[in-house]
Parts: sequence; C-alpha cells; structure tokens
Amino acid sequence: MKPLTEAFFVMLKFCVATLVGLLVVPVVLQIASRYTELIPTFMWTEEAARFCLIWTIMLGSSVAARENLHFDIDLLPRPRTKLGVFLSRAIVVLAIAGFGLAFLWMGTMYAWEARQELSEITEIPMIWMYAAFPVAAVGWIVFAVEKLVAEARALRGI
Amino acid sequence: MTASTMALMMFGTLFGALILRVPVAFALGFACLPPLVMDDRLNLTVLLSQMFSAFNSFLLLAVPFFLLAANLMNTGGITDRLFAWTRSMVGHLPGSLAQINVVLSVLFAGVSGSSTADAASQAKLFVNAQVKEGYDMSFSISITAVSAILAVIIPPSILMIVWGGVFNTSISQLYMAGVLPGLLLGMVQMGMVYAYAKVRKYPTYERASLKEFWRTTLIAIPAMVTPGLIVGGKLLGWFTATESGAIAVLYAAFLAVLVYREVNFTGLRKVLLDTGVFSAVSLFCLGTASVFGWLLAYYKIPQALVTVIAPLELGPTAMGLMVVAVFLVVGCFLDAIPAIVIVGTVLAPLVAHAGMDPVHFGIVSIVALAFGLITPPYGLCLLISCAAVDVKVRTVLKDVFIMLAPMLLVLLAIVLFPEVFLYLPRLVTESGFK
Repeated sequence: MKPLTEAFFVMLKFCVATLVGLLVVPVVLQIASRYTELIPTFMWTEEAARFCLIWTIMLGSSVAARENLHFDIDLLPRPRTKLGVFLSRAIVVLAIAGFGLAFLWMGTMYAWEARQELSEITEIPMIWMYAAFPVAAVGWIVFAVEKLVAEARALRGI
Repeated sequence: MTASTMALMMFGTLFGALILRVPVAFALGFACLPPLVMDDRLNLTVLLSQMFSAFNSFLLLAVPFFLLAANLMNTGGITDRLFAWTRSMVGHLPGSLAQINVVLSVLFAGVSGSSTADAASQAKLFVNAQVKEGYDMSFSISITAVSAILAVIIPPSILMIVWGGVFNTSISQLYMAGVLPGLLLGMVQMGMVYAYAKVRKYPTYERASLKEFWRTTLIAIPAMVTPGLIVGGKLLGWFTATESGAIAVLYAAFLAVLVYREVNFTGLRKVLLDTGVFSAVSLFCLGTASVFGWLLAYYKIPQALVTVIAPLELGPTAMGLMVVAVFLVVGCFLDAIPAIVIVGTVLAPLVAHAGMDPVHFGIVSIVALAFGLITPPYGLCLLISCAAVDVKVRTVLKDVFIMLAPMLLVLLAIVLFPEVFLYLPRLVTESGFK
C-alpha cells in the first residue's frame, strides 16, 4: 500500500507545483494585453486563473493532510500512554476520513449533475472544475487510512 | 428544530472537534454537516456550492501570489540583501540584531502580505543567531513572532484583500489605513527591544560607516522596488490587487533566478510546491469557514445579535472597543481568515448600525486579528517561531505579553482617534489616488 500512496502523493505534489506556476500566466497575459498591443485582449484569462486556483486549493489540501500541515489547536494535555496517543490521533484521522467520505459522495454527485454545464467564457465542461472536490476527498481518505494503519502498527510495536 | 438550536449544534460540534485537535478547516466543515443533514430545507450540496463560490474568486489569487513572491524573496537572496541594508541603518542601536529583526519585518511586510511566511523565514534567520549573541531564547522567539504580525498590517496584506472581498470595502483604502498603525507598531517594537537591551545588556554593533550605508543601499534598491510595484501599482490604479501580486512574483523571480542567480530549477519547484500547499491550507479553511458563515446568516444569527445589541445604542467608539474585544478573544482560537468570514460578517450589521466607518472597522479588526497571531493557544506566528527552534510555547508567553502590552495601546489609539488613522485612506479611492 505504501508505494501506491507514495506515488499518489508525488503526483499530487507535482500537480500543485505546476498549477501554482500556471496561475501566474493568465494574470500576466491579462496585464500585458491591457498595456501593450503585443497580444490581443483575452477573455479567458480570468476564468482560467480562477479554475487553476480551485484545483490548487483542493489538491494542496490533500498534500497538507498527509504532511499534517492543516492547523489545529492544542487545548488538551498530550496523552502519556501509548493507547492514549493512538486514540487521540485516531479520532483526528477518523474525523478527516469521515468528512472526506461525505465530501467524496457529495462531490461526485455534484460534479456528475453538472456534466452538461459549461463555464461562461471558456466553455469548459463544469464537471472538470467540480471534479477537484471528489479528487481532494480521495486524497484525505487515502492519507487518513495510511496514518491510521501507521498508528495501529506503532501501538502494536510493529 | 429552531434556528438557535441549529446554531448551538454547529458551535458545539465545532468546539468539540477543535478540542479533540481536529484541524480547524475540517472542524469547520464537520460543524456544517448537522444542519445540512437535519434541516429539510437544506442539503449537502450547499457545502460544495458555497465552497465553490468562495474559491471562484479572482481576488483570492492574490494569496498564492503574495506567498510566492515572499518565498522567492527568501530563497532568492533578496531577504539577505535587505538584511545587510537594515544592519547599516539600525545596527548601532542597543539590541542590534533584534532591531534588525524588527526593521526587516517592516520591509518584508511591504512585499509579502503574509505574517506566517515572515515568521517562518525570520525564525530561521534570527532566533538562533540572536541566542548565539547572548540574547535570551524567550526574548528572541517573542520579538520574531511579534514583529512578524506587521506583514498583515503594513500593505500589501492578505487579510486586507480578504476583508475587501468579503465586505466590499476598498482595498486601496485599507492598504493606506494600514501604513500608520504598522509603522507605529514597528516603532513600539523597536522601543521594546531598546528597553530589553538596556536592562539585559544585549550586544550593540558598531555604527556602520556612511560608505557602508550607501553600498548596502545600492544593493538593496532592486529589492526595495518590489513594495513600490505592489502597493504603488495598486494605489495608482495600474493594477488590481491580484495583478499587483502577479507582477511581484515576476519581479521576485527575475531577481532570484536571473539577477542574483540563487534559485535553480529544483529550488523553484520547491518554492512553487510550498506556496501551493501553504495557500491551500489558508484558502481551504476560508472555504469551510464560508459555508459555516453562510449557515449562520441563513439562520439569521447576525440579525438576532443586532436585535439584542441595538437597544444598547453603542456609538462608533464603544462599538470599536467591542470589535477589538471580540477579535482579540476569537483570534486566540481561530485563524484570521475564518474569523473574518464568520465573526466579521456577524459584527458587520452591528457596526453599520453604530455608524462606524467601514475602513475604520476594517483596520481595527485586522490589527486585533494580527494580535491573535501571537496569542495562545492558536497564535500561528508564535507557534511557527517556537517550532522553528523546538521550544515550548508556554516558555515564551511572559515576554510575548510584555511586548503585547504597549502594542495594545496603539490599537486603543486606532479605535479612539479614527480621524487620525483615516487621514491617509481618505486620500485614495478604490481606483487610485484622488
């Protein structure tokens, strides 16, 4: 399982880095078309940039979930026993996985229902935009399960 | 079920999840599920449609752009050049390295717009270096975290952009409103460093020669063009806030890759990934917070609060103090962006009823929320600065609160003297200078 999740993680990281690079392009083209006559005025730039942003946020949220980069609040004292540590971490992981499952189900329905819709300017099928939601949810679930397995192994001393 | 029961259930789920250490973004999303499942008039797709609406914003692109510009500055050697310039300016003041820390934060604030990016870079740069020179660890971490908050007060600021988008307030005016409080807070922090240095005998460097000053100034000029491009371009009406972020990225990349040649392809890939993930963390939280805020509005919670508070007939000053108190408390438990979306939208009708200026409301709230970045348990700048040197947060709290006390006086002044702090914003309109 580990090589698969690792490959998925590497792919997500590649996509996020590429998307951030791509974000800059349409906005710069937009400025260039306004102030120079080198290129024509583009209508699609703003929409393309917004759609890249949505994918960046959702895929980035999956990468952050695996690397524990989402911020949490440290209110309760840290558990001192192995079982306590396992339970405290398992609750968090299960909450993320549970939310991920609801999100995956909702996101798939939402994207599928929009399969006939087209975006206003670029006329891209909206299913490609909404697909970012279930894809991100898959990431949360996969990485949550991976962590749960790792925590269980740590508890059993494997 | 009544609206108030639903609201209580949402807050109950939220706080329960937060206490169990579920990440804030997921806890907010989780807290939205009960009403979406139990209320016949709603369904689960509201969660997605509201998140999509929140993300589908050209304005929000400014967040990854400012973070990318800041990351390029740090890895591309731009910060190092600013460091040398700052050293020649304030290095002779008592507590030299800590003074440089504060002034560099002020300069960095003119480019980055993100306090957490500032805290992450400055903690690596300063904390251990200060300790080596004989500063206390607690002081070194505290001054690094405290000075990092200037990045969201001095323009450009990610919080101001989000605020402008959520409340339809002029971003140009918010930018101008942040200048005076940011500089005042910077001066207060330099005063605190001075006092600490005198009491604890922290080291002082020799005054740099005039030749050294001009040499470092010349080197720093290309880096100092960046704030001019970002803020100047916006205030002169050349670019939108988002476009100015993209221009800053291009310029920072030009300096880092072509002029200073300190970023190669591998470094660039890492910078892009770090920017994407960090932007995603902030903006995903904005998405779930937007759904939470939408549900509160759906159940008419803000209107209910107006009905309770309106009979008190609070004026702008009393309302300003209430806004400060609310955001200082909320800032301890919530990140600034979800706090703006959730609490700001609840306070907005109350503030409008009290006749408080919208830009004044904006700057008072942003400064109070910036203080939340250093107050436990959820003070992100404090957490980042402590994590960088693996020190427990509670060991530095005393110094943080000592430094925060005079800064609170500045915040109080912003509330009490709106005419002074609104002078600069009134010189501009959204499309540029009047």
